[in-house]
Amino acid sequence: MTGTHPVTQEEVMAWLDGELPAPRAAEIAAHVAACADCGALADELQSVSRRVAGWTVEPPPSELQAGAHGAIGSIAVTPHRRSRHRPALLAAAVAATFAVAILGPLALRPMHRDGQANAISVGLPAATPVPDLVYHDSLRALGYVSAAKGSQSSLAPPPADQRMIARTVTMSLTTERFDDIRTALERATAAEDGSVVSLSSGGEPRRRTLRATVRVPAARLEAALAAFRALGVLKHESLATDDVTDRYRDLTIRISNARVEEQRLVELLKTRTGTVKDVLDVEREIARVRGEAERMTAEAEATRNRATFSLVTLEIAETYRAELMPAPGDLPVLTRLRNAFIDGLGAAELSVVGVALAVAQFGPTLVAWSLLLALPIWWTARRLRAFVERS
Amino acid sequence: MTDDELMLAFRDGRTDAFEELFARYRQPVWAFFRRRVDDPERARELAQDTFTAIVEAAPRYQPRAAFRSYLFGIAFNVLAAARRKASLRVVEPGADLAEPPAPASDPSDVIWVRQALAALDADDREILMLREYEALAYDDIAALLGLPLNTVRSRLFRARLALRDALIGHETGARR
Repeated sequence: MTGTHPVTQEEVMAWLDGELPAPRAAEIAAHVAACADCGALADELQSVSRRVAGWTVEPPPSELQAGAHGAIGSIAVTPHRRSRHRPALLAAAVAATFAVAILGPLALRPMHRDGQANAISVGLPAATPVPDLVYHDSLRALGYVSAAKGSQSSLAPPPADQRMIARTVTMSLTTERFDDIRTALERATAAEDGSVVSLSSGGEPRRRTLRATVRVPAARLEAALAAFRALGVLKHESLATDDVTDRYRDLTIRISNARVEEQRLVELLKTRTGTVKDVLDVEREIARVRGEAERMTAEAEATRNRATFSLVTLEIAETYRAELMPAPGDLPVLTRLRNAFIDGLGAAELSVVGVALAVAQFGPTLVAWSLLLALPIWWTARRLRAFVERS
Repeated sequence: MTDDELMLAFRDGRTDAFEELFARYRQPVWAFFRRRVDDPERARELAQDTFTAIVEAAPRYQPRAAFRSYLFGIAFNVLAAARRKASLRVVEPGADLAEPPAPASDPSDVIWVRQALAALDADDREILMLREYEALAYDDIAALLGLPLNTVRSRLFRARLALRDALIGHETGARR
């Protein structure tokens, strides 16, 4: 075909797969339409693809159907996960230790995680841990897992007079007791039958920030917010609502229709006599409808969970950092003096450590070169002195 | 919202965005492992591991490629790691015909597809499955498998021709 055809067979395949640029695709489309051989090849390739697509698999098991919460929750609830990551974490810790030791004075600079590195690189879980900043064990929270298990109940449309409102609250606070804040937050969340979805902390010493996303039952949102406000000084709070009633109702109706259609197709398959192609077409349609119903079911469950549980995003900053945010003139003199003194102590500490690190890093090199050059220098000085004396 | 937008929203703390992503890709990821792993429970674990890896990598996610490719890239690596473990019994498609994992399909057709796939070279089979079932683009498959783009295209073509020949043989035999 390639000897006389302006296109190769592989190009015909690539054209069918939509892998060619538009101009070339147009050329091949015109050729295939006019060439019996290439048209037959295209038909055969499409037939192969259709036949291969006939291998469908059963719907996911209920554990995987539990929704995103189950997926997130399993990070912590599956016991072997942590031990699986441990060697990687250990290797990372060792590497970090060596890096700090070798980089020496560079260690003085505030350490920020290079979160963007390898961001898109496809890797195993072992290559992607964020052990020190993201506390996945907080995801063990009971509410998340139990919510996922409970999501298998039937999806009935909500009563006409009942609205489903998804609420999202954002809060920012400051606290002087930052060391205890994580425990206090988890305790307050658990007291309201909520769960911590994500938790991360970072920042420089005495300027730390904790960010958390918490999920609480909608009915206990106000009580949870009151508990969170008590964690520190409230700086900002906002509430966003989303009425998902219509979306949820629409999904439940579409799911019901899809199930009816699926049942109708199954009945059709039982009674219809036709060619193998017809049977395959019906089976494919059943698989499509079933898959669509499953997708909508998951979406409906997620939508219902959004209304059943409210999300609270918290940012809790250490008071020291928050006090430095306003203009200096807004702070009391004593506070500014205290902050300056603390800064001074920090700078002194950094300078001492920096000198020590510099000596540790360059000292052996200086000693080695001194030993190497001592004899030539001594000999040269002696000859020079003798020359001067003779002159 | 697009997949990338959802992933970025999840990176920024919106768990409902991940719920949507999960809803979109639960079935495809499950199917990815179910077609390649004999044990359904193990397939479920690997699918769960894949979503777990997505969650863990979310803080560092950057939309430099299609999310679909990113997702199946992780799934592929999860599977590769699992295959390295001696305890895992991985399906060579067609190797375990006693329990075909597709009750929704015509069993005889499924058996034929699995037999035909099993007869392919392992690399060719993986390329074909990534294209046919995961609908990955040629360049995504090339990047995933570390192969030149032309190699992917030629191997995919070779695999499809082999399946075509098997299909002709299968239908000829069925008519006799």
